[in-house]
Amino acid sequence: MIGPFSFVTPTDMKLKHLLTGCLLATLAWAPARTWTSADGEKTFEGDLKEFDNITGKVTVLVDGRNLVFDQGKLSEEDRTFLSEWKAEADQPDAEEALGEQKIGSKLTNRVLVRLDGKKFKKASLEKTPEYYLLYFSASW
Amino acid sequence: MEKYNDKIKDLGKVAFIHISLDNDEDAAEEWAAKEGFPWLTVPNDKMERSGLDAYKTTNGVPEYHLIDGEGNTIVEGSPGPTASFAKIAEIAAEEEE
Repeated sequence: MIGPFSFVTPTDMKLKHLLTGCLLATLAWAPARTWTSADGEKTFEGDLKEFDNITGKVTVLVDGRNLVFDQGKLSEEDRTFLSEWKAEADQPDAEEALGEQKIGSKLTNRVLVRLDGKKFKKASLEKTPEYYLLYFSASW
Repeated sequence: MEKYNDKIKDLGKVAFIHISLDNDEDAAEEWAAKEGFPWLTVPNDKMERSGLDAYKTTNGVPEYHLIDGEGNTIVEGSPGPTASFAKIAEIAAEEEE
């Protein structure tokens, strides 16, 4: 039977859990994860496909099948992970957000440079600012 | 430069953009290298493409002009940075809240 926490014991999974944790540390937002039950007794592995933070429904791909269950079945650590993942997933990336700004959309690496050693090199905004302090100046 | 490092560098809501008025790119680069400019720069030949030339409102240099992402003026262009930095201090306080 496939389902969250229906077929794996925690003691067998400790090493896998540790290895998965290390992998997640290097692949910051990779959705593959070992999930732990709310009581901490059971674990299973699966790829996070979706999390609806309004209904609390989690969709995880396990052995080729999508499992949908309530986040309440998961450990606090997993629920925190889901919240952070959702916040990150919902945040438009900087380039997209800049593209929606009148000023940001024009400040691409086609017009921006930054000093790299003693030479200017093409550069981009690394954030989506709300304000721009323009500094017009010259060497003379 | 000190004010940039203290007040803007790590501020998420504000970007400092240097618009170079040097027609001579080599001179601009030498100056930047000598001073160690850490900020983003629009070279003079890219100023028109950036659209930021529209915000040069005084006849002199330097000029500081604080605008928002939609190009609305927040602090009018001025030869000194005092008014802009005062507003940025308010923005920083909001960001910390």
